[in-house]
Amino acid sequence: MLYHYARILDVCEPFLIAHRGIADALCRTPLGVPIADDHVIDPQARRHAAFLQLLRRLDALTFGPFGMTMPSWVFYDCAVMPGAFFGLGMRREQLEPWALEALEVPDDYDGLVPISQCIAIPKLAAFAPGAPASVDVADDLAQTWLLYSLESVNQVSPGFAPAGTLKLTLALALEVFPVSRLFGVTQWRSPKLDTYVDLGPIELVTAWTPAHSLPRTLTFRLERDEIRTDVLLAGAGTHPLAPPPDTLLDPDDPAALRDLQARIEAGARVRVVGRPWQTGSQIRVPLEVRA
Amino acid sequence: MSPLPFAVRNPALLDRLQPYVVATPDNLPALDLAPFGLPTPAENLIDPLRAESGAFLDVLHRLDGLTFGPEGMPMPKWVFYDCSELPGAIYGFACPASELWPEARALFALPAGYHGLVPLSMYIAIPMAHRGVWFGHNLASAAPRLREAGVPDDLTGLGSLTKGLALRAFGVRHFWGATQWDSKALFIHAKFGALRLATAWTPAHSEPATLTYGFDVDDACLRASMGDPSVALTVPTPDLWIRSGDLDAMIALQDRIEAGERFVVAGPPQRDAEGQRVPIAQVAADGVGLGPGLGSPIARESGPVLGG
Repeated sequence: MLYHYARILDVCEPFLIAHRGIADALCRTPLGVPIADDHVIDPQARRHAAFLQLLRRLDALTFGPFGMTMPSWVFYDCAVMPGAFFGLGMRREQLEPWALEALEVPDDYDGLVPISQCIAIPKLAAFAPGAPASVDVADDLAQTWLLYSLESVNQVSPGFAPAGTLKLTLALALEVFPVSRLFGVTQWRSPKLDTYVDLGPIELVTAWTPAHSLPRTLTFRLERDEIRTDVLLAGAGTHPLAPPPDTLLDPDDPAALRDLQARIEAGARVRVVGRPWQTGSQIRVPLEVRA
Repeated sequence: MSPLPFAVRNPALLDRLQPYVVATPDNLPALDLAPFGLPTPAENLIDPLRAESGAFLDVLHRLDGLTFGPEGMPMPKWVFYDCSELPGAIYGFACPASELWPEARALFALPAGYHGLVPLSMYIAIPMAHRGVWFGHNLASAAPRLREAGVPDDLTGLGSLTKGLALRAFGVRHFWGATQWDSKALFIHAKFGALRLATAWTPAHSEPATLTYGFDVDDACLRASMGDPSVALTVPTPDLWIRSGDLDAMIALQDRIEAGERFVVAGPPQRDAEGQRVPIAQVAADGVGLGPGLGSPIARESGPVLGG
């Protein structure tokens, strides 16, 4: 499957940012792609400050336009300490001068330049009675994770890095983390919804989220046995596990989102079963709704 | 009579205020909703996944702004959701809007017709990768602002009471947090006893002059933090002091930590005209780890832990 992604693997190198409490518990050869020892970065060591600064810049580039740049205390308190980062980087000689400028790579920096990252943090439900534990890891290690951030520099500048970087980053990250159950948050109009749906039919936990800065945010859940990274990587478009839709949702209609939220709160099981369709200014998201 | 089985600094808080918890339904079973026997009323369990919780969460966001806005670190609302409510939990004390002081109503800018709970304090922590290990990232108390606004009641000790009970409610066995060397919050953190130092200079943080600190959680340190006079915690004698503006000293201490030496914060800071200085004691290194959850062994049986 990675044959189709050879162009990325030719020029990109995977990295892992993980403090010493978790680094050894994570997979270092996701889908057979080795993470070099010198690319396993201890975020609490002073020598890695420049790399971490570049990562913050990447986050600002990709989430800044949405008004959701991660405050850097959040970067440390809510990502570095509870979770870990997996991503892909490139050497500066492989990047165009404009790309180096966009990422504000210092002239004297000769290390890896991050061009994508996936951050996951544990969810407390991992430690609740009956939490799923389908991955063979130590029994005190979390297996319910929140996909906290997924970004590629291609989101803001296609052509910066090879095509497919976001998908490959996600596919590899899901092997790095011991995920039995995955949660995620995204906006209905985000192109990343396509990527998540390619993993499998995602079950909605929220459809309208007033607790978030952007209420038109959805929260989703996926079980390990529903995740198909091969489908994600192949880009099939129609997931083999997805049932046919019985409802088409207009994600630009707040009333429809509120109504769907009310149905979820009333106990309906709602899954996004395919990529959104677009015709002109109209978008529809295929759903399966079960009362 | 206090509903807690020990004395706290300001028991009147427990007469005047009631606890609340914000947690998703799947996180809730991992919590102790009656820490030290203090029950959280069922109607005070806030599910952030429900649309109807939006109004309360907006007021909670306002509390964060009241507490951290002046210092420049208020939390964006999406951070509340992605980094607090969804992965972890929030514990705090609140007052029904109908019983709120008029000064507080103005301070919180409550919308007309809001009749729900008004949170006056909150503690947020999120789990780290191993069971029982948590990272605390936000302690907010409206007490200072309410005092400034002329609220007559004494809310002294609200922050400490909130954090102490929250750690118990969350089932924290090993705690980590980050704060700045010049932060007054170090006075609260030091109430839990000696604090392990995982970092003394933290470039990964927006403010590199940040220390990452931790401690093992047990009944004694929780009770001490809440002002129980019957508990006395011992801390080692300081070997050195870090002054809040001395960046070179922080970097030098960080280099010693990275070289394998281990240190603790050995008591509360001392404030003077130049800021504050923090007492530091060197302790024996226990392997290469920085502490439980950061590379050192995690005790399986010590302290409170739920969901096991």
